Order: sequence, then structure tokens, then C-alpha cells
Amino acid sequence: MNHASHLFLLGPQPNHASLRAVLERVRPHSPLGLITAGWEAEEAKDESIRTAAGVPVTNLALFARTEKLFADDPELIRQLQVRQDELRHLRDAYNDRLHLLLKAARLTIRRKESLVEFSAERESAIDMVRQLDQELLQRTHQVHVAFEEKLQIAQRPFVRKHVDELRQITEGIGGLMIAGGHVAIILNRLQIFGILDLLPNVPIIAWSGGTMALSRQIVFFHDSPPQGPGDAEVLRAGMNLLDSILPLPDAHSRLHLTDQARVALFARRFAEFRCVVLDENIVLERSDNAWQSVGSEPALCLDASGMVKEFAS
Amino acid sequence: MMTSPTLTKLTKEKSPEALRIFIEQNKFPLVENSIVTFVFMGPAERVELRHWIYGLPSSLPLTRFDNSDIWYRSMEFPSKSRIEYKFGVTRGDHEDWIYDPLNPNVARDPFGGNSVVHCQGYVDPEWSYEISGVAQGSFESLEIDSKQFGDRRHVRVYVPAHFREYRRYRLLIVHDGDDYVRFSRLNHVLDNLIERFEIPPLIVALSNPHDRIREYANDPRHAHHIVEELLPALESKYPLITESSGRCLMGASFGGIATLSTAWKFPGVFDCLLMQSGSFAFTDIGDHSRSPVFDPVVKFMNKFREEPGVPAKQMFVSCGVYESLIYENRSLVPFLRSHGIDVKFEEAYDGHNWENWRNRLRTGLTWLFPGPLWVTYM
Repeated sequence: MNHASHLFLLGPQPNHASLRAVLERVRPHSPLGLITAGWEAEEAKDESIRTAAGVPVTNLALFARTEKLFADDPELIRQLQVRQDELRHLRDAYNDRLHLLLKAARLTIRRKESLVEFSAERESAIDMVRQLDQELLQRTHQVHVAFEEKLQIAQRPFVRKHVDELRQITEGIGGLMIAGGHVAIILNRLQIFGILDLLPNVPIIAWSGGTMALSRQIVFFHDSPPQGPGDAEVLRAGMNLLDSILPLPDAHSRLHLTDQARVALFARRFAEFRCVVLDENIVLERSDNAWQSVGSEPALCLDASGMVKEFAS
Repeated sequence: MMTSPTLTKLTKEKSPEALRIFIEQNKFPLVENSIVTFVFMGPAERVELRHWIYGLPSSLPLTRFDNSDIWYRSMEFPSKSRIEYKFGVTRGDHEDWIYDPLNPNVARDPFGGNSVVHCQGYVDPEWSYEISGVAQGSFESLEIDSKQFGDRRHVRVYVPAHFREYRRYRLLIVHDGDDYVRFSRLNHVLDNLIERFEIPPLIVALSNPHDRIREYANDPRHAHHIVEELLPALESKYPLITESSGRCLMGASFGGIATLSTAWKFPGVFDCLLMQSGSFAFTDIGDHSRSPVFDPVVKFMNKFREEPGVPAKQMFVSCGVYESLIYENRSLVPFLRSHGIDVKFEEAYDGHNWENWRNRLRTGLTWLFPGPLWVTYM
């Protein structure tokens, strides 16, 4: 399926300023679909987005839909809980190892002896972190594949019923907006209902957590959460719509962007990606297979040097 | 003696009236950088500052101003201090302990309460108040016929807002749970931290003793009650994560002993412990010098120090600098760490009281149960 060739990635939208600017640019002539499942129980509180959109908006209500689905299909929720346990155990083991490997990598990056150049040691230390990330991605992929084989989600009667309904209500939709929130929930709901298959080729405007769900792999990050310094973590594969873009919503608040060692470690650990700072006024657009910065502020990228540089198209 | 620059200037004028006007126009105790001045106005033969700061004489006399009915005393405190106190006012041969009439700020506790002064740099945690618009959890009741105690135990259970039967929740069991709600606003703390995604939605069991001093001081019945009676009852009623990684046991003071001793008797049941101002008294040689109620505590702590094992993987320990227990708590931290336990320790310029415990909850809970802030990008 050819998914969304026209894409907009935005940072957090407290005032919807960038969202309005993007909609001006897109000028939709038909209603827009909206996903606010990441807000969970607050999903329906979408008035401000509707006002900003200026065209009719259909909220797909994926969170509420899933609540009904779980009530109708208790076996599905039981199996999801089993999968959740498996994933949690994998995460716990990953985090134990990640903490130590990142500590070693940070120490190696900061080491400066006059007689020895440590670039090989640095690369090796970072590579061990990358290997661990890859291991987790593989293991979570295996769990998801086994789950899908066992449950055949798309074929379950209640899922099919919801997908049929969604097919009807998304008919004539000219674009899809995906708001931020709880990233794992956004991703889970997109996948359960196969939303991107229902809406091929419509422009997608995603912001904050919504952008993360669309990336090839989901990376959580926060350098100073309340529980103490945080280590960026890989969650699992995302919807893989963003080529090599790794979106970092609200990065100025969440990351210590002036800490060169931290920035360098992040950029080098995820060197296969362009790690893009997505703050409130930054917008990335993909059109004709090319990415460009079109927001009121230029998009920024983490650089392996530890600096934050302007995003190059 | 430390003096307030403002009071010094005013007292030089030798005018009780000028001083009285100044007092009426300002908030007291007067906080000027690190100097706090306590003032009492009223008939008395003697006025003393009664406080609970370990290391200072428990009673400090105020000075009468120029034969007037104005009494004052200035003291220097470290930045961020929070001081609970009363005035001991002697009239005739009788001393009354009273709240500071000039200070509306009172901290409540099971014994009544104390006046409170917030020193320079102290931040009253906004996350501990009821905040409009924040979704509130609810309380449910659970009755347990306890074979261990031979009586019926009433447990209140905090159920978070937006509770969903199909989700599975982490569990926090709180010793002195109702007091934590009454005096530390635990329910509002939970509501706010959950709302901010700083902790996950939790099921919180508020356990309360019938005979606190006995039950919490390493009474084996208590540990069996928590693990073999309360925990199964909670797991059968609520959708909980039934693994040790999803469980935390918590308590303050003797509740800290109840927490540690329960986890010690049942290692592997709780991965996380949250212990505040734990009464971790021990002896290296000879008898302890605390009250006799500490006898079983000291016995337990001495045994624990001989054979600590690993009661839990992660422990949050907090204590006030102004408590006598600060030394025991400080010494426990490296001891626990040396046995492979991941420990976070926080001390504060505060005493053995519920607001100190309240103020440390955010650090403790977010560390033990990091919330979905990590996965939430609004």
C-alpha cells in the first residue's frame, strides 16, 4: 500500500499555530480525519483542533472504539495483557543493560587523555548500545508477529465490524490529522484498525507523539524526567512512514541540547536517522519524496559533533 | 544571640507602639534571608519557643521587649527549612502550649498540629494541593477478616481516575494510609502526579493498624497479614500486575519499620519500598537509649543488619535533618547499597512530621514508579 506521500511533521501544538499554517498551505477541500487516541479518556475534547482546522473534522474516536472492542472481545484483551507482560519483561531486561552500556559510553565519550585517542573505544561503546537497541527491536518484533499469527487481529469479528464502520466514516476524507499523546496507544490503535490502509495517499499532518508513531522506530527521550536523569530508550518499530527521520518532539524542553556529550551520544547512537528537533514552530514537509523545513522556525538536527544544526533538505 | 536587622532597628527606638504597628502590618514569623523572628504578643510571665529540631534545646526562651507584652526571638536557619513549633506561654505556675496567634499557617497531625514557618527558599509543593480540573481518584472499601489478628480490618482503596477494568495496575500499600490522606494529602498528590503523567495510575491500599506501636514494630502477624491476607484480597478484587515489580510497600516512622520488616520476612514479594523517617534504631553494643517501645525495633534492626538479604530491589529512603533518626537513616543507605539494593535517599531541613513526608512523595513515587511522561508527547 502506498501510504501518504504528502506528510507534515509538527512539534507540540498548544495553540495550533503551526497546524493552522500547514492547513493554509494544504487548503483541504474535503473533511479531515482526526486521531486523538493518544489523549486516552480525553479523546473527545477536540474542540480547539476543530476550530483551528476550519473545515469539517471527523474524529475517528479510536480510543473509545477500542474500549468497546475490549468489552466485546475479552479474549483479545486477555491476550493483549499476556503480550504486555512479555514486552514488559523484555523492557526491564533491556533497561538494566541499557543503563550500564550508556554509562560506559558516556564515560568513554568524556575521556580525554593526552597520549591516547579514544575514537575506536568510543565507537565500540556506542555500537554496543546500538546492538542492544537492535536486539530489543528484534525481540519485540518477534512478540508482535507471534501475537498477530495467534490472534489474527484483522479477522476477528468485532475488529472487522469497527473497520467496516471506519471505512464508511472515512469515505471522502481528504487528509488525516494525528495529534500527540501516549505514543504506544496511538501506535496500537493505528495498527489494530489498520487506519493507514483505510486512508492511503491522503496527506497526513501529525504532531508531537503522532509523529513518533509514524517513524521507523520509536525512541523515547527525556534528559530530566522527575525520577532523575533519563536514558533515551527504543520502544519498538513504528509505522515506518518517515524514511530516515527520527522525530524529537518538544526536544528543547526534554533534552539538554547544550550538553554536547549527550547530544553527540544521541546522534551517534541513532546515526542511521536524522534526529530532528520538532518544537512548537517547526514543521517538516515531505513532498515528492523530499523533506524540507517549512515552519516559522527552521528545523534543527542533532549532529554527531554534539552540536544542533539546521536541517538540510 | 542572632537578631533580626529590622527588629534591631525598631527595638532601638524603644517604642512598643512602633513595634506593635510593625507587627500588625507584617507577616510573622518574620523571615529575613536566613533569619527568622518569632513574635508573641500577650500577657505572660514567660514565653518559650517549643520545637522539634533535634540538636537544639527543645525549649528556647523569647525576650520580652521593654517590659511590654511583646516577646521575640530571632534564629538563623538553613535555606529551605520548614519549622514546626508552638509557643509555651507561662502564666502563673501554668504553661500552655499554643499555636502562634500571629501565624495562620498550621500543619495538622494525629496529635493536633503545630504552627509552621517556611524559611527562605522553601517551596510549598503545588502538586500536593487539590487542583481544579485535575481528575480525582475515588475511594473504595475493602473488609478483611484477619486470621492473623483475629479481627476485621477495614482498608480504604484509592482507585485512580479513568480506571479501566481491562488495564493492569501497579499496587502501592501504605502503612498509616488514612493518616497519609488526612495529613499528607496523599490522594491529591496521587491525582496530580498521575495527571502530569509523572507516575502511572496506581491502586493504593490504605492500611491502618489497630495497635500501631505493637503491630508495626516487627510483629510477625503484621507481615503475614500484609502478604497473605491483604495482598491476595487486593489481587482478587482489582486488576493488578501480579508480579513483585508492580508492587510497592510504604510507611513512615514505625510504618517504615513495618515496611522493612515485612519485606525482609517476605523477600521477593515487593520490588519497591518507600520509607520515610523510618525508626531504624539499632545498637552496635549495649542497650539503646530510646523509649521501651523501641525494644522490638532495635532487636529487629540488629538482626536485619546481621542478615539483611535483599528484601526489595529498590528503596526510597527519606528523613528530616531535624530528626534524631537522621543518623540511623543516613547510615542505613550505604549499608543497603552495599548489599546490592538500589537506594535513593533524600533528606530535607524538616522534622518528623507529615508535611515533610508529603513533600518527599514526588521524588519517591516518581523514582519507584516512573509514569507515562516518558511515553507521552502532547
